[in-house]
Amino acid sequence: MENRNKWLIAIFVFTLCLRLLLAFSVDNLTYDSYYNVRQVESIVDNGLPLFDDDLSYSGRDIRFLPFFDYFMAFFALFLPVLVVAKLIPNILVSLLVILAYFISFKITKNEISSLVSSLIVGILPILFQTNRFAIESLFLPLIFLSIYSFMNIDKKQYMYLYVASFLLLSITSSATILLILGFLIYIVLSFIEYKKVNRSEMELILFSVFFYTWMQFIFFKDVLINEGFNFIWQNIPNEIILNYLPRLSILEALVLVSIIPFVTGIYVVYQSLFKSKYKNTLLIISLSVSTTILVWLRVIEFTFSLAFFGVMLAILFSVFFKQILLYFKKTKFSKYQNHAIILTIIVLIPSAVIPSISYALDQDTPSDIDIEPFLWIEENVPKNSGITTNLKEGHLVTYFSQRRNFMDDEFSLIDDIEERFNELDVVYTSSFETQALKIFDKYQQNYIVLSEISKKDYNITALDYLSSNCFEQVYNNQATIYKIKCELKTND
Amino acid sequence: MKITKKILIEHFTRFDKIYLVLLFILVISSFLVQNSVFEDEKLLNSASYSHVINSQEISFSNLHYFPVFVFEKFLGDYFYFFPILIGILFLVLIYYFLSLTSKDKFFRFVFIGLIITTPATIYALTSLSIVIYFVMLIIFGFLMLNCDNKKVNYFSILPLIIATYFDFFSSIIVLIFVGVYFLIKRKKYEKMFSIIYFIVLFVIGILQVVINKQKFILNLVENQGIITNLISDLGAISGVSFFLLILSIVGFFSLYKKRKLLWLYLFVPYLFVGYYLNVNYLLYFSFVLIFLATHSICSLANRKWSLEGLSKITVWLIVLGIVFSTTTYLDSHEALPTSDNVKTLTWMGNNLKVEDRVFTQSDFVDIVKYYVKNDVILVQNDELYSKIYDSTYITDLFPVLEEENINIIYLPNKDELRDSEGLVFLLKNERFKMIYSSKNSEVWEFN
Repeated sequence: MENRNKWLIAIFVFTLCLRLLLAFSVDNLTYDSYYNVRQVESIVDNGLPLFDDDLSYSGRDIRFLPFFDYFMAFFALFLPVLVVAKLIPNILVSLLVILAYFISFKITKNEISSLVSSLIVGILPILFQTNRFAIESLFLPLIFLSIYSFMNIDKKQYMYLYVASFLLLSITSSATILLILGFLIYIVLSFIEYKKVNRSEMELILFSVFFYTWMQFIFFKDVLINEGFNFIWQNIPNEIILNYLPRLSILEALVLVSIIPFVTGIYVVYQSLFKSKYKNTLLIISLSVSTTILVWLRVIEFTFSLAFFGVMLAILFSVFFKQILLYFKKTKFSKYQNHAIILTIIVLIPSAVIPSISYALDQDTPSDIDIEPFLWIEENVPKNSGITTNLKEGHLVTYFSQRRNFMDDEFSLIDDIEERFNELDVVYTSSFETQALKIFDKYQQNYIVLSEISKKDYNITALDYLSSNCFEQVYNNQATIYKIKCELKTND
Repeated sequence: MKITKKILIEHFTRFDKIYLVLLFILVISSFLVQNSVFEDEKLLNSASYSHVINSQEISFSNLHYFPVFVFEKFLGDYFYFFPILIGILFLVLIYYFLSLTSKDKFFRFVFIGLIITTPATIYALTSLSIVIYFVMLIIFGFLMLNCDNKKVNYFSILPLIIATYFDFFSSIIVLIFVGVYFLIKRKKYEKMFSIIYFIVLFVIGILQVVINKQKFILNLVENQGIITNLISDLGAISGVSFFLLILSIVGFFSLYKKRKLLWLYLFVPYLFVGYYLNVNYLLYFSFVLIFLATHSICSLANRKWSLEGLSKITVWLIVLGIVFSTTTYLDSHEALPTSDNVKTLTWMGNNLKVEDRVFTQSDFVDIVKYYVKNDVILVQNDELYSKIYDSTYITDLFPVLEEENINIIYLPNKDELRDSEGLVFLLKNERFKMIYSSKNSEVWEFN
């Protein structure tokens, strides 16, 4: 037991150090992270998140589950927000190592295979978005804590732990539906496999379903009424929702969840469903199925589902590894068991660590040079100006420039989002000045930023419609900023 | 004294009438007051007006409208009370029926409580709903059939025959209920009586199709969003709450333990098909959902929980969820016609001339017909509707209006139309003149 703890702590420390090293060696946070940074700062300053945001979309209401931001704001009382944004998410994700160990141990009752599983989780490439300050970093440990407590529901203290963790999950992310759907699939699979779902499990599932629904109501009442059934797609424009489908190739996806756990995971799923009768494995499989369904429906983001799926596969790997160890014991090579374990680790580490480091270094973060124009805007542009950028840079406008943006990736409760999204395309790709000016007027925009990312995204080198009468270049470095001087007069 | 689950259930079943009456007053009255029914002296929802118009001339094929015809003459200016009276009568009948047929008083309390708080039934109980009327006929028929007096048993077929007048879909419901009832109570009735009773209803159902050219389903409103129209929390005009839907799903899957209710496994899909084909039949489907939800609430309440603490939280969550959903519906739903509509419609009734030809949106045609009681012609044509509403050029619009001789356009809610495009944009032309308005409800004249 003591040995086990030492190894577990060692894996945790190794994972954390690797993550922090990468997080602090990469410039800044990912583009979307600045949305949460603003929310945390708002909580620190005013005690409330920005449910009514004056800058995003030039002023909008937004509804979201605020626990993540409050949780981070607590740490931001003692540390700078940008340090919190790099430090705490990485600690939280590293905790997955410990949770994966306990879940694996619950299933296999084998320390070695569980430790190997936890090591796989620690170096899982898809989890190496070290500079992303997003809800997933809290959601993943919480959901696995819920799963672990659900597996131990026969002990009363775990019932309380489950209720507490589920409560926090429900106010952290709507993706908790993943767990609910997983439970329902678990009931169906248990029914098919003639396994009885015990009373307390059933009661917890019922509680979870009603509590989750209740929470969604409280926070999203307006969104539900305004957007109807489409609320589950969060008003995301059609073109963007395609991103919820894999843009990655199958090979890339396999590398990100690590090939060895994937292959062994498939084997364990096959064995659990058709041969062995591990009840807890059935739960893990049900959760994997629910992830697949929700990705197929494009309800959850593909990369997020891949992260969840990756951890699941790593846990299922422990079942496979235990069977290998047992098999090994029965052969003439049983005395070489330790060598086999070391060999496995040697094979595993490079197959996962190298893609992990490469994935972390390739994160979608703006460089200091990319941020420079937005800092310039903050100092040189009138306070109430509207700044047009591409979608990705929307949060840079509201965070660094503290000005109104054209749009960003928080689409919920925005009217005519498709139209706005298409019009953003038009202002970057149109050849007609009047067409662009009409859009700038409509959304009260005063400046447009042409950055390298915009050039790449829209496949342009310059804005075609620029004329010296209506557009004045006010900044030119890596990016160019134009002031819009004309208004389009219309005769009604 | 510690208040246990058992004590609470006993309390509610003992004083159920008081609680249900209070609940009815609280929910239904607040809905009526909020929609200014007493102030404007109006009916709610387009379907109500459609039924009143259909009841103006009674013939063999619309015999089921006879009570509406009678009460309109009898109540006169107070006819707007009629839906409320029907609503109360409906709940009393249900209560009485359940008292006779079920020993479970808590089931009765929950079932009626859910009827009162479900948006689909609030919507129906406050307007003239053909489904409410149909269910009342069925209950009435079964109450008579359940009597110990044989003569009353024979006469019980009359309300059930009237119930076959709506459409063939409803006739099948009658036949299913009668069939299941005779199967369950086979010891109570003579075999021959049951067979003849069933055959008579079956033949009448077929005759309705053959002689009265009755449709399989009254296709009043096309169902364009199965889920959106079903769930009131997603902004549907009626529907059921998320919580009720979840409870009914739980109830549906736990039905297999009750052999007498197994037929519902076929009946629920049948009603769902009805709802799919005609959104107005959501109410049929809602009733069965309410029944299933009641079944699961009673099971949850009577169940011995292994995690007792969790049971209290779960029950509270269910209660709060239903209350929350109902209050949200009462708060957000504005039934038609609005007070502004009534003002403009009354003005139209007093000022339009016989030769005027009025165009309005399709869901307002019957409401306009009701208020404008002279011979004003209403143009009813879906193709024409989109031609007029979606026109972006006067060169497209004017010939259509001229060809149809339309000279009055009634816009019940101009805010719902887009300012920059279509008809609203073209109304700026000098040939249009706004002759009356009350807020966003406008009457335009076309010269």
